[in-house]
Amino acid sequence: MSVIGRTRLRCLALATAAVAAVAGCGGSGTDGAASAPGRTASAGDISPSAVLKFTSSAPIQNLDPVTHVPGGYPYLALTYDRLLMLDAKDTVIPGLATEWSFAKDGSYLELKLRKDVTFHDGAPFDAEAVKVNIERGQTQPDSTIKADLKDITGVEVVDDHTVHLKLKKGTGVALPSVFTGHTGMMVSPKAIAAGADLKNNPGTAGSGPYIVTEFVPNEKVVVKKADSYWDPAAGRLGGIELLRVPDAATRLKGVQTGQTDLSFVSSANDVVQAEQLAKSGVLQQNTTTFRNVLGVLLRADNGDLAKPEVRQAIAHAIDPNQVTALFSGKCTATRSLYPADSAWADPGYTYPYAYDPAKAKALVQSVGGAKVSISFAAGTNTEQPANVILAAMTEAGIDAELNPVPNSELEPRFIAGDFQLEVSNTFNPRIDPAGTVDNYLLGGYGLATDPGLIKKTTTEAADPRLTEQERAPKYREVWGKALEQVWFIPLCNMTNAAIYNDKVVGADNVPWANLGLWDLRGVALTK
Amino acid sequence: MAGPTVQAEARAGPTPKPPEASPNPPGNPLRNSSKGHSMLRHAGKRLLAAIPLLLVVPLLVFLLIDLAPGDPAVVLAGEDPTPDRIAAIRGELGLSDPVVERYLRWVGAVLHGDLGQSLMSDQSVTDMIVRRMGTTMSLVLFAMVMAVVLGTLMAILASLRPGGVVDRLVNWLASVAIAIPAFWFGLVLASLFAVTFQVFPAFGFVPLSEGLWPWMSHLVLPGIALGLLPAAEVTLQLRSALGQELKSDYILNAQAKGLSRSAVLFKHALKNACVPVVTVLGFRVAEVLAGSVTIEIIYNMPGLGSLAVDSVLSRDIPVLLGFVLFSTSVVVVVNLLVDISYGYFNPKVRA
Repeated sequence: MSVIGRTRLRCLALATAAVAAVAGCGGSGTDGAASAPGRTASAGDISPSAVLKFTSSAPIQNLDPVTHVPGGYPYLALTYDRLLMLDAKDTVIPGLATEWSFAKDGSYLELKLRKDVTFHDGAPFDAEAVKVNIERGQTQPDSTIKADLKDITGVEVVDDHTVHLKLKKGTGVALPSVFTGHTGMMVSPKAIAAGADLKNNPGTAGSGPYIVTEFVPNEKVVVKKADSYWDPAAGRLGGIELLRVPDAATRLKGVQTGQTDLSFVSSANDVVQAEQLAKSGVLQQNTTTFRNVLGVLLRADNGDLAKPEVRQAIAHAIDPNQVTALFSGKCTATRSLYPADSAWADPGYTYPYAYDPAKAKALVQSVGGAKVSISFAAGTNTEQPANVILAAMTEAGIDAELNPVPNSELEPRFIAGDFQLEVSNTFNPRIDPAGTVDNYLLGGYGLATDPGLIKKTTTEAADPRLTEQERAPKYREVWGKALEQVWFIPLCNMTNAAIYNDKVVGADNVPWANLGLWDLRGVALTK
Repeated sequence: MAGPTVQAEARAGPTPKPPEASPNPPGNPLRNSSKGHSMLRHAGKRLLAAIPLLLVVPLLVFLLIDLAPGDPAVVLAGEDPTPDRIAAIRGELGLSDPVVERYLRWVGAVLHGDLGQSLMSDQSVTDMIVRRMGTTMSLVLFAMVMAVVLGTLMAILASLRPGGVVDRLVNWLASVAIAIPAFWFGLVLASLFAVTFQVFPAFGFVPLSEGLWPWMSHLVLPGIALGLLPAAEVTLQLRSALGQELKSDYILNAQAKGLSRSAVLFKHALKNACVPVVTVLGFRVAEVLAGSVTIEIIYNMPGLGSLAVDSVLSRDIPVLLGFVLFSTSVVVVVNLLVDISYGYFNPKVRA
């Protein structure tokens, strides 16, 4: 398998629980069809009965959105509609909810629901269905979405198509973006009441554009088009065969030989090869820069990292250009947590620890030396950067050593506090910055080892009553503090390439592609 | 000619004897019945002797996993690896219990026909193995059949004129084939015949129930990649054994009696030369089973090999143990069949 693909997807699986939020305190959309990708061919060119063959390295253990691990949820997005969706530019757009807004006092999030949706088992989609689903996510013992729903204190059915999600005041600002992932997927209350085997055989329990006809855990999901669907921009295929192919080279071969239609690759070698094949006309490809940041996550209260001078020395010692050179130019250097075009990024920001090996050495000498262990996922694309970082730290006078860890264990064990420092590309800035703070700084990874430095600002910034313009400066201040404290050292953003044949429509505009994931609801094939 | 390793393996089987030496001519029901019972007793003894192996191999895996750094409970805790959560998972799965206790619990469950459930999903390990068994068994079968057919053909061609051009060419090709890593050969085959010429699929597997050609077409490239090494070994082994047999007195006697060349070769020499080859094949099944892991990954075949790799990466111990038990059982059964086959090739064993 592509090591980058595996690493990225695992990391993303951990990271994408909150594909974050609508700008500001609630947005609203039109009551029309959701904006979907792929409208570069006219309707007459589309083959409504064609079956798309798609491959991905994302694992898929079960089909129940409430017990699903985040990284595998794109498979489910074809079957279950979500309350809200994301477009390819990371904007929250209407889904089953056509409008969403927070109460003026921040006590609830109001969702206005579509009136023309029925689950494929005949049950109506209404406010009561939302209530059943939210409460199921909060109470089912093996639910993996409880943390996403923690700010909701109750669900009030206002009328058939209006629901209020009651909130702890000053919280819940990230919920609209959370509802664009598996937390927002709605299952038929009828199927839930009947105890349907949602994990393995959801049947008609969804209201999505497709219905699952075959599922083999971690191997494949086969779906067929639903008989009727409310969004004409989605469900434009007869069906989709989604195969799990962990090895990126094999996925590339699949598209190259015509055995499959569409896939994604993200290791530098595979992206370069895809570009060459595209130039020779063998396949189509287009690239997207990942939101994820390849960088160094530090546990700033562990051993010598508790000394600010050591952390600053590490930041000064690493040359991002040396790291990006490892990826054939397919990792764009960055010194920021958020992409430059994001409203949450600070355009005028200057990173305080420019590459300066002499300064790094002086800082280490000032504290009488330091000993640091560098953990990374063995056999992944972080192996080479970890070695570059080892050399840089050694040159600065730090007694550094490498600690290779099985890929599946790196992130959970870092979160559990087992490691001093890790080189990883797990840092996934959420669309709503409240999610980033929750997952990486104050909760989850807990990188903010001195939470008092940012707690007040992040609490203020997460108030859903504020506008984006009011929140953005506060978050920029938080990012500045996090980087100044060297809780995280950003290095570069990797590249993801969609590879497909010339019959595929919409592959250049797939939502979530910048997360290494995919939302195929709008993809089609020409005749 | 065969290298030292292969020649050493040639001595592993019973010494071949000419068919004429058989003390049990066919047609005597009493003796045949006695022979049958003898073989059954022999098979029974071999099966009983395999029981310690079936117990020891999983124990070793238990110990190895226990010694390896890491903790499946941490992996299972995912985004919420708090000490309480990890402790709860460990308690729920019994991971905190002493390794011997966990092993004995597993053995007890296996004796009741329960291989347990995957830690990462709710699936039964038995179901997972059964579902993927078809892929791996198809691949191993294809590779072994190819090894026997190709190896026998090459060995016979080479032995027709010992020391001749064909003999030397076959010997050279087989030596080269032994040196080629299966994963590399698999990649080359895929690049050539799947990508460039597009004759066979680049990856995947289709069950036999969907048609003979679809099934076969998905097996050709991985099967050849996997079967190349055993084919080369069969070639060298059989060529060596045939060379010795064809110089034997009983062959000269048969030739002097005026038997045709094919009768001498196929009826007498080949049958006796097969004993060491069958012994070697017994070993090779285990090797091919192990080699299927990389081939299944290269060709993205949903078989036991990729299941084993996934289970190791995710620390899914019940699945890994189920795979180990299954593979050990296959090797035991194959070796038993090899033992039984000696009775066919060498009647003295039956006695």
